[in-house]
Amino acid sequence: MNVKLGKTTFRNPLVLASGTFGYGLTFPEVIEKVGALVTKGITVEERIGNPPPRIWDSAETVVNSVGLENVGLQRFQTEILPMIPTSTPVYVNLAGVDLGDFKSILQPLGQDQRIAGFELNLSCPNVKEGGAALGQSSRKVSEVTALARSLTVKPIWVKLTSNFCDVREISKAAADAGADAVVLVNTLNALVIDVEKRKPFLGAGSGGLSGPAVKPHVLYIVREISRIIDIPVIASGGVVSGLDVFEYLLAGARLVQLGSINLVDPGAALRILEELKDLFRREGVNSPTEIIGRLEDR
Amino acid sequence: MIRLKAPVLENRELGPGLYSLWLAIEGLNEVQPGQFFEFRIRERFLRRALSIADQKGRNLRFVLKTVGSGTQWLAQVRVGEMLDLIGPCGQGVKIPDQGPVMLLGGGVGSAPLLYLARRLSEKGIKNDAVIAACTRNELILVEEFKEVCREVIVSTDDGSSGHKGLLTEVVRTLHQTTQAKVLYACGPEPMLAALKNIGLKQPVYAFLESRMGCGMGLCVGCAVKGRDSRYHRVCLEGPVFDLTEIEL
Ligand SMILES: Cc1cc2nc3c(=O)[nH]c(=O)nc-3n(C[C@H](O)[C@H](O)[C@H](O)COP(=O)(O)OP(=O)(O)OC[C@H]3O[C@@H](n4cnc5c(N)ncnc54)[C@H](O)[C@@H]3O)c2cc1C
Ligand SMILES: Cc1cc2nc3c(=O)[nH]c(=O)nc-3n(C[C@H](O)[C@H](O)[C@H](O)COP(=O)(O)O)c2cc1C
Ligand code: FES
Repeated sequence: MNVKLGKTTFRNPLVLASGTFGYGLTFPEVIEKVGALVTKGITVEERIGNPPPRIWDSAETVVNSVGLENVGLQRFQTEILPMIPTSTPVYVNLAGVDLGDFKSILQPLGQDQRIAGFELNLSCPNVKEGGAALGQSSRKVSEVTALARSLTVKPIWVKLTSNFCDVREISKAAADAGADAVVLVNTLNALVIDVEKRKPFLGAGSGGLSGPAVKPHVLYIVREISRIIDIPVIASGGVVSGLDVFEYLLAGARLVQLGSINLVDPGAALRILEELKDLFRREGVNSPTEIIGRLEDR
Repeated sequence: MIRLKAPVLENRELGPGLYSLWLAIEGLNEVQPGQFFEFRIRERFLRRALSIADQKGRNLRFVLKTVGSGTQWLAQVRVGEMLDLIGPCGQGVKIPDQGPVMLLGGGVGSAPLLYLARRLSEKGIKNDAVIAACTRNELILVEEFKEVCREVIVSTDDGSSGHKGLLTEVVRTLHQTTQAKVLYACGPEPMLAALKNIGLKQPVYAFLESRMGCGMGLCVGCAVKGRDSRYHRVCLEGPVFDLTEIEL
């Protein structure tokens, strides 16, 4: 099930997505079986997050407005890093408002042995500043990526948004600025309405959409982008089964992230891995590399 | 905390939109009052939380009120059906060494207090309960409380059974309230908020609800604001909080 991404080999293509597995301090039996884990987004200062309610769901969607609640850089270094799992590569998801923020985080963490790499979160829809506002501009994506490149030799994944922007231009900008991979895509802008109150339901006023319903949209983006950029694409959106992972690999993803499904079943990755192995057996596929991007035209 | 499959042993209607489920939990770990299980349901992506309402050996009781499609689905499960749950989640109540203890249940909020009352009585700690509801047919578990409490006081907002008035008003007038060393309350948010303002001298612990993403500390979806203006996770630090520590 090995997959190579640049110089790094992952034991399989499954990655636990940011914000859906905390800082990786629980469920070690799951973490040790996946290709990698991405932590909750870290910011320079601690963030208390958005007012509740923060989460809403339907049969096939989750809408969240957690708002990057996190312990902040300092506590991350003193309290979390010493406990971070060593059984699996850990990628630290970073968020910030401007270049200065990314610099403040990457200077101390950039060479830390315990961290496998970084995922730049330029796509969070749940914060007023930074987040998606950075990821919607090719110029800003390019600047942040180049800065990060200058501060670490570790792999840099740039997590992008498809909200109100041209993901093609922005993915190219990330690739040109030295990203090792793009992660497509963060949650989609979403509004839930409380009809009785005539107000948005979520405390933050709006949120980010994830879950099975977003998969066809994200599959499309993954196929389009993987055809036009030279760096690997990592998929994130709506995976709940081995079949979903297979589809993303066909569409051109090298790694596939699992997000919302972890909330329903923290052991989902183990099931999905077994399903993927079964599917490989049935389809006569020996390794993920054989099918990555092998979707044929109609 | 483990994921398990549990057959439904009984599903009984207790009142309008109120249901009692007994499940057999294979390999049940030690559970504490205040803890809850996360139920996989049809029609919604995320699990739904229900508190432990009672225990008999490896069988657990849950009591639910239908408020949306998740709880409506749970209300119609049949005997023998297998449910998919994760638990026990959350921190249990630390059983106090000394009584008397006073339990204040509003509506379906009485359910987790029944299990607390049972554990208190097993330890020989005196406890009194106020079971409140809007109206008579929404009162639940009164007979069960009588088995394990020293005194059970019933109150309804409309006076159709027991004392008439809001639970907080009734509580203020009772001599059991002044005697209690500690109080535990579970009910709708306005009830808990009102309770905060009636000037009780003793510690009051509240069983809180919130919309949850995972119930396991993974997503920070379940925030409740603390007195320190920080958010606390209902699923991990809670669901039972010192009433003075939280903002309602
Ligand atoms: C720790 C804990 C323990 C609990 N224990 C129990 C228990 O023992 N018994 C029990 O009955 N319940 C309990 N609950 C509450 C129970 O989990 C919820 O009632 C349940 O999750 C509701 O799910 P649902 O799908 O039925 O409703 P949902 O459809 O999810 O709706 C839930 C609530 O949100 C409101 N809502 C949803 N969408 C909107 C919108 N767009 N606009 C306005 N309002 C909206 C609904 O009106 C409703 O009040 C507990 C909760 C927690 C956190
Ligand atoms: C509750 C929740 C919190 C999230 N927090 C973050 C975060 O901190 N940083 C980030 O880059 N993405 C975050 N995401 C987005 C996920 O990592 C993932 O990209 C998205 O949910 C789509 O995948 P899914 O459909 O598999 O959930 C969060 C998603 C959810 C549901
Ligand atoms: S519900 Fe996910 S952290 Fe509490």
